[in-house]
Amino acid sequence: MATFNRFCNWVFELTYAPMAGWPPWVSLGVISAVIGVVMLLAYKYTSWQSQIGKARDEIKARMLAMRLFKDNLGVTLASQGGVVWSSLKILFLSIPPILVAMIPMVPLLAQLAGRYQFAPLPTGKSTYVRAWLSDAFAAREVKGEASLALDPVPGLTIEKFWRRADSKEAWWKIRCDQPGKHTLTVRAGDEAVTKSLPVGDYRSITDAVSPKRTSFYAGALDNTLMLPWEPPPPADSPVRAIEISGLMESAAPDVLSIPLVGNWILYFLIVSIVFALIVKPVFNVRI
Amino acid sequence: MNSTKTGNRPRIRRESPLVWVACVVVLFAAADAHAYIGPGAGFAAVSSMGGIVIAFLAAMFALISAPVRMLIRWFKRRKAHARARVRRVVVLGLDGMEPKLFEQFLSEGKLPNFKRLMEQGCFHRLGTVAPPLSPVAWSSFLTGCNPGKHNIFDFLTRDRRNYMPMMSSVHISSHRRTLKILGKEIPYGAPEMRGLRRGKPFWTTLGEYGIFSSVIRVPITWPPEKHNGVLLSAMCLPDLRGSQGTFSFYTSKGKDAEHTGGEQIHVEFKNGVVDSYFVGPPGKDGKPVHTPFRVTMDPQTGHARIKIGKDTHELIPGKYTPWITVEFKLGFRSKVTGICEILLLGSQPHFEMYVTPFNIDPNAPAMPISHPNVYSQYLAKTQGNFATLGLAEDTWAMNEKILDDDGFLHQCIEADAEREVMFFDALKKVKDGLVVCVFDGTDRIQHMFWRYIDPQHPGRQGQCPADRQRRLAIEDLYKRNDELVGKVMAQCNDEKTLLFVISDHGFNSFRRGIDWNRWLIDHGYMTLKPDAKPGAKYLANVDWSKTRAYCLGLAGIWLNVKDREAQGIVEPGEEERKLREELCAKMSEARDPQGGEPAVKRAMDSRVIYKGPFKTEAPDIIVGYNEGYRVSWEAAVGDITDAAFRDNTKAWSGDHCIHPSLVPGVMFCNRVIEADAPRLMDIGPTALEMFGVPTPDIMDGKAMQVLEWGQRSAGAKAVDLRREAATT
Repeated sequence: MATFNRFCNWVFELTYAPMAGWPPWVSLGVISAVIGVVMLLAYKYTSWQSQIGKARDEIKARMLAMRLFKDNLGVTLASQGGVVWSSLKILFLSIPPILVAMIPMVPLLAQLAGRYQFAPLPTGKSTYVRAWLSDAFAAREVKGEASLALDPVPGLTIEKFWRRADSKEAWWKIRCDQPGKHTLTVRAGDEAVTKSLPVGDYRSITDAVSPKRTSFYAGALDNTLMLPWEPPPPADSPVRAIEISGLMESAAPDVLSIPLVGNWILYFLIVSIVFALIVKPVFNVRI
Repeated sequence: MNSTKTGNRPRIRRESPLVWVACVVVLFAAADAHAYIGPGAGFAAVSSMGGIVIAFLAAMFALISAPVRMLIRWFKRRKAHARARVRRVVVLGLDGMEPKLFEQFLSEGKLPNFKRLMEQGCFHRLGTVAPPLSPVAWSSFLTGCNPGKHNIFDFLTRDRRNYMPMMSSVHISSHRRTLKILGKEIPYGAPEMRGLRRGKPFWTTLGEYGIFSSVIRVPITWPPEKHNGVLLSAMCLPDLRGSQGTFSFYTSKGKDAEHTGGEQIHVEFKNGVVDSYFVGPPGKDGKPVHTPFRVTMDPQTGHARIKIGKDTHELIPGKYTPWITVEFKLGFRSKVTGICEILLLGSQPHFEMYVTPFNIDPNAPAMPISHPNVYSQYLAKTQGNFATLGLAEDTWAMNEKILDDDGFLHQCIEADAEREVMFFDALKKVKDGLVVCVFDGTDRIQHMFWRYIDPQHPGRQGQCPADRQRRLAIEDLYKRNDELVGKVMAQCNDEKTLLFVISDHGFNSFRRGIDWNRWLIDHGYMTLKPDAKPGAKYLANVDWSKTRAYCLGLAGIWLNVKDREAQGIVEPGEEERKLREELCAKMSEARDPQGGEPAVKRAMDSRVIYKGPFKTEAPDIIVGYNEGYRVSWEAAVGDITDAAFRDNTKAWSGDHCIHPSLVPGVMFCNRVIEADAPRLMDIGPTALEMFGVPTPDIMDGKAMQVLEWGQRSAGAKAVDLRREAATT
C-alpha cells in the first residue's frame, strides 16, 4: 500500500504542480471538469449503454403517457410505477460503472482531500496532538517502565500533556507560533515516530496536508488509502497513529472560499457532473 | 457531423432475469460503495433518482388535479352522458378489404375470427363514395360528409394557373420568409403547410363533448388538427424531402436516372468499396443536402458494412436493416434527421442497394406529424422507430422493378406490425372514448399482388410462381387480418365497447388502362400542338386554345372552362352543362377495342352526384369504370400516348378506382346493426350517437340503428324460433 501511495502521490504532485499557485476554486474546478469528462467516458465504456438507453426511453415514454392520457388515472398511476421501475433499472445498470469508477476515484479523492479538505493551521492557533499507543507500550508506560514524550520543535510551544492511565491515548496541546512545515517527533521508549505539521498561509504551502499518520484499518479499507501522504508507522512501533486534531477540523470553506458552494466535495461533484452533462451529447453517452 | 443510430423493431422488451440477479448481487457485494462520491454516482443519481422524483411530483400533481379535471370532463360530457350507450367505440380500418374475397375465404373456413364477429354482431357490405379512392373515402368517413363538403376528390388536382398536377389534400409551399441584413436575404421560418380537406372530423365533435379520441394513421389527417386526444397522421404525409416518397437506388451498373417515385444514383464499385451519399431535404440554397456514406463489402461473407458518420451498420444481402437515423446538416447549427431502411440487393457482378424514402424521424419530427407533437415521440420511445411516410409501402419501387415481391411484402408486413403495436397501446390506454386505427397493408398488398389471383391479368407474365408466399400473399393477408380481429375482439368483447371493422372500399383487377387524353383527341375534344414532342408529361403538348376537356389524376375529366382554367375556352353555363352531359353519355359508351367490353359503367356529372360548397372543385366528370379498367398510368399524369386502351403490365395490378357500386367495402360490428344499405359516411354519426352526441346538421351520414349488446335482429329471432320449433 505504501508503494501504491507513493506512486499516487508522485503522479498527483506532478499533475497538480502547474495549478499549485491557483485559487483553489479554479484549480479544483479544472480538476473536477477533467475528471467529469474522463468519468463520463469511463461510464460509457463500462456500462450497458443500450439497456440504459432503453430504460431512459421507457421513462420518457411513460412521462409522455402521463401527459397524453392524463384523464385516465389508471394510465397515470401505471406510468408512474413504470417510471420508478425504469429508474431503478438505471440505478442497477449504473452499479457496474460505479464499481469500476471507484478504483481510480478513491485514491483520487484522497489526493484531492489533501489539497482541499485539510489546510495548514493558522499561525498562533493552538491544537491537539493525539497519539495512539500499542497495548504493550501503553501498559509499560503506565507502570513507568517506559517513557513517552513529544520533542520540542522550534516555532511550536507545547502547552500541556495528558495521559490517562485507563486509556491507550496520549494528548499534547501545542501552539503554533511560527509558520513553516514543522515535524513533530513522538518518542516512545527507544522508538521515535514523526508527523508533519504545516503552519501558516495555505497559499505558501503547496504540499498535501496530512492530518493523520496511521497504521489502523477502518472496515475493509486500509486507512492509509485515504491518508496516503505519510507512510504508516512500522507494524511493531509502540505508536500506532498520530493525529493533529486541528488539521482534521480545518475548515475547508474558510480556506477555499469557493463561491456559493462552501464544501469542496460538493463543488467537485457539481462541477464534474455539469461538465459531464455538457459534453455528454458530443460523446453520445447515455446516463 | 452526421450521426446515425439503429432503431428498434416494435417488440416487447424483456431483460433476462439473470441480468437483474447479477445486478442485485453486485449491489449487495459492494459494501463500500456508499463511501464513494463522484461523477459516476452523480450520473446514477441524476438519471434514476431524478426520474423517481419527477414521477413522484407528477403523481402528486395528477392526484391533486384529478378532481378538477374530472369536474371539467363531467361538465363537458354532461349533455351526452345521459344518452351515451357505450363507453368506448373502436374502429379498426382495413384499407381496401374486399367483400367478395372475404366471403370466399370465409366459406373456405379460413377466417374463424371474422366468422365469430359476424355471428356475434353483423356483417354488411359498406357503401363507399365516388370515386372510391382512399383519400376521398376516408375523408367521407371522418367528416361524415359527401366529397362536395370535404373537398377531396382524388389524390391529385390541377393547378388552374398552369394545368400542372398538385396534391389535393395539402398545400406545401417552399416559400420562406426572408430577413434582409446588410443587403443579404436570410431565409427563416418553416415552409407553409396547409390542409385542403374541409369539414370537421367526428372526433373533433366528440372532443367538444369531453370525449377523448385516439386516432392512428387515418388517411388525410395531415397536417394534424387539434382535438381532445391524440392523432398520428397518415396518407399524404410527405417524406423528409417533401415528396410523397422518393426511394434511392444505388447501382454500379447504370447511370444516374430518374424513376417514377425514386431516383437511381450511379456509384463506383472499386475494391469492394462504394462511396456515395444520401439525398436529403433542400438546404438553404434550395439544393438537396447530402450525407455521405461508405459501403465496404466483406468478400468472405458477402455481407457489407455501411458507415454513416460515426456509426456502422451491417448490410446482409436481401435483408432490410432496422430503421436507421440519418442526420442532414442544413447549415450552421441547423440539422434534421430522417429514418430509412436499407436493403442490399446484391454485389455481384454489380453493386445494387435500395434505400427507402427518408421518413420523418418520429423522435425529432422535422414537421408536425402528430397531435400533440409529442405523440410521435411517445410512440417512438414506446416501440422504437416506425414508418411515418403517408404511403409507407414503396409501391413505386416495386413497379419500377427495383424491389421484388419479397422486398415489398416485407415492407407491408412490417408497417402493419408497427401499427398493431400502436393500436393495442391505444386500446390499453383508452377505456373511455374513441379509438380509430387504419391498417394499409390490405390495400397495398392487393394493389401489387392481385395479378397472382387473376389468371387473365396481363401483368401476370406466365405461370404463377411456385413460391407460396407470393401466390397466396392475399390469402395470407386476410388470415393475418383475421388474427388481428381475433386479438382485437379479445380486448373489446364487452357491452361497453362498440367495435367496428371496416374498409373504405373493396378491390378489383386493373387489367386495362384508358388514356382518356388520347380518347378525347380521337373524339375531337382535345387538340395537340403541331410541334408536339413525344413523351411530354403534364399535358405539355396540348393546344389549350382548341381543347375543351382533359384528363389529369385518377378520378375523372376536367373541362377547359373559360375564366376558370388558365386558358379556358368552354363558356361557363349552358355550353359547359351541355358538354358535361355529352361527355358523360359518350364516355359511358366507351368500349374496349380488344374484346368490345364496356369499359365504363357510368360516367357521372360531379355537379349532380355531389352536394356542398366544394362540388365545383371536383373534376367535372367522375368516371365509374367497369371491372378490370382504370385510367392509364400515362393519362393520370397528363402524358398522352398513341392508344386509348392498353394493357397494364405493372406489378400494380389490382385497383379500386372503378364505379363505387362495384367495390363496396365491408363493415363488421360486435352488435347487430339494422341497416339496408350502410355507408362509410354513416360510421361517424353512428359513433356520435353511441356516445350520446347529436349528429351535426352538416353531416350527410346518418346514425345507423345499433341494437343493444346481445340483442338479435327481428329477422334473426324469427329464424331462431323456426329452428327451435323444428328441433322440438
